[in-house]
Amino acid sequence: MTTLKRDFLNEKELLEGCRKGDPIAQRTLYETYSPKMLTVCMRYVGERERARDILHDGFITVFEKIDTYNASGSFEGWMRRVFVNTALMYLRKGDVLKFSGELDAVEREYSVENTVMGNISSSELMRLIASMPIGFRTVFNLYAIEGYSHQEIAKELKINEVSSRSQLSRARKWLQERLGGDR
Amino acid sequence: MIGDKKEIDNLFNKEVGKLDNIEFDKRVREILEGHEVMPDAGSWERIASSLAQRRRAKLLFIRRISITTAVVAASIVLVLYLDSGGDISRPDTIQPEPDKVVAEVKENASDETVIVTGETEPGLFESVKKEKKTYEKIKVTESTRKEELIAEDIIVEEEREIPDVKTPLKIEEKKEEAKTPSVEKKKRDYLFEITPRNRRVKKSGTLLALSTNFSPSMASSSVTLMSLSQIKSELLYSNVASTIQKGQLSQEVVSNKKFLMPISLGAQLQFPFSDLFAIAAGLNYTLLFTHYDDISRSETRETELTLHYLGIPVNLYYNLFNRDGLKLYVNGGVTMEKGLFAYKKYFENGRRKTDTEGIEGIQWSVNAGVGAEFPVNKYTGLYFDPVVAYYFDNDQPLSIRTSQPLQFKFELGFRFHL
Repeated sequence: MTTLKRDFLNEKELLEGCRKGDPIAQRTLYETYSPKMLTVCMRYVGERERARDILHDGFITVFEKIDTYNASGSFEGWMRRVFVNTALMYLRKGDVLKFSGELDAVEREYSVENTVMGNISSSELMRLIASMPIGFRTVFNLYAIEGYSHQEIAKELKINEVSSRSQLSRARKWLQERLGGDR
Repeated sequence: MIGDKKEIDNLFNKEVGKLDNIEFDKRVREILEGHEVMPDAGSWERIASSLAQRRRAKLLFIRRISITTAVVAASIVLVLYLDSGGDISRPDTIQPEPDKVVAEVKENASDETVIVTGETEPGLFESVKKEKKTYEKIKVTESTRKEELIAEDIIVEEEREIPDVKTPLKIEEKKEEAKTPSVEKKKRDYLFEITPRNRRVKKSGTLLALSTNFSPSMASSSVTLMSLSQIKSELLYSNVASTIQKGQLSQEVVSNKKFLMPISLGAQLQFPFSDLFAIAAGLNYTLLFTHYDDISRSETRETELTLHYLGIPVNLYYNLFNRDGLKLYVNGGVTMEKGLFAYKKYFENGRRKTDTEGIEGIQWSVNAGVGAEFPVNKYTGLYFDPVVAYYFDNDQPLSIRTSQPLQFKFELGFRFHL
């Protein structure tokens, strides 16, 4: 990726440039955050090609709605929320959030050795998350990584809170099983 | 009890080096925290290109809004200007003071200008230049007293009948009455407030019509019209065909067609070539919007198709009724439309793509209908033409016209009597 001369002293100045539609500022912002945001997208859709489309749409939204960022929280947090919402919109559109027979797939309970978690690389974990059934993956991402509450997840995915809890529990077990957990 | 059991389990797990749920989630977060995936080369270029495209679209939208506003404002100004009496069409208007009327009548009796006013307000005394030979036929009264009486009558009351005195004034009024028998004397109810001097609807040759056209037709149950607000939800949450349904398909099919009501904007000039007949030709722009699904074995492709057409309508009008500016008529004609371009936005397995292509060929249609024009002021009429149109199969892209060639249209607009 081309390295641009950083003409911006701090994030505030960079955001001001983006607000004014300055292409240099926009590109700098993209280069700063795109690797992190692409990771977010991949965690939700599990596939690079679709993640790339979400990254594209997410950045368009960021540049068009940057005026609505009021600096009350971190900019990265705000951006992450935009990308999560964009990913959820994609998932809703494909009707993939209608959790199907996946629910019955995991019934046994697992726990995972601390040492196993210590050995696993981020790429391996990403691969595992990407291969999770989509319903599990979405709830696990929202709860365990993004920090949404079950109430928020239920509202976002148009499911009830009990379903959200159930999905999370089963998602954890699914992951623990593949991480070499035992009973 | 259940809570206690969970706590004991968690403690046990910790003791033997196993993670509880909170710890597990925390570890996952920590591992993923530093993870980054580099985007593909050219990813920024795609974003930059989309941003530029959206910026252009925004500018285009602003420009369109500005043009529309300017056209609407110009129309209003035109209506108001014409309503004010059209000063340009009255270059010879003079406004003599009431007490000088008699003297002017005397002086002008043999001149080219004759007092013809019947109005009471200052400023309503008008002198209209006429051909001298016209007035040679008029028997001008010699009696100054009679002229004074006329002048007094003019000033005192507008609608008051002048005694049977043959003056240029009286004769001129009668000539006008002969031309438009009921217009001058009777007060009419116009849509807009009118002043006495613009009561008479201008009878002119050419008319300029500015119109908008809607086609809210549903002659066939296979055609579904949807509202603008529906589109977004359709695109976000539309139900695509199930895998089983796809498996049964032998070839690609287009299904779930939905259309927005076609909208046209246009202007046309109407040339009356007799009291009964008029011919009109103009230019109009039409926007057609279709949403459909291409379903094949391998994929479902949702498509939004926007078609832009520019057309030349030629119509013949036959007046059934024409009095006091109110007109009823029948009309019929033919329209030739050329597709400017088709903008296609489609979602292929969840991914959005766009495409713009030209539209080949010409769309021909015939139409017939009835219409009514209501007077707004002396120079302007508001008209409403319900029309039935038939669109021929000219191998045009999918639209409401190809799905349902018979369309009901409602044209609404202003006609300016030039």
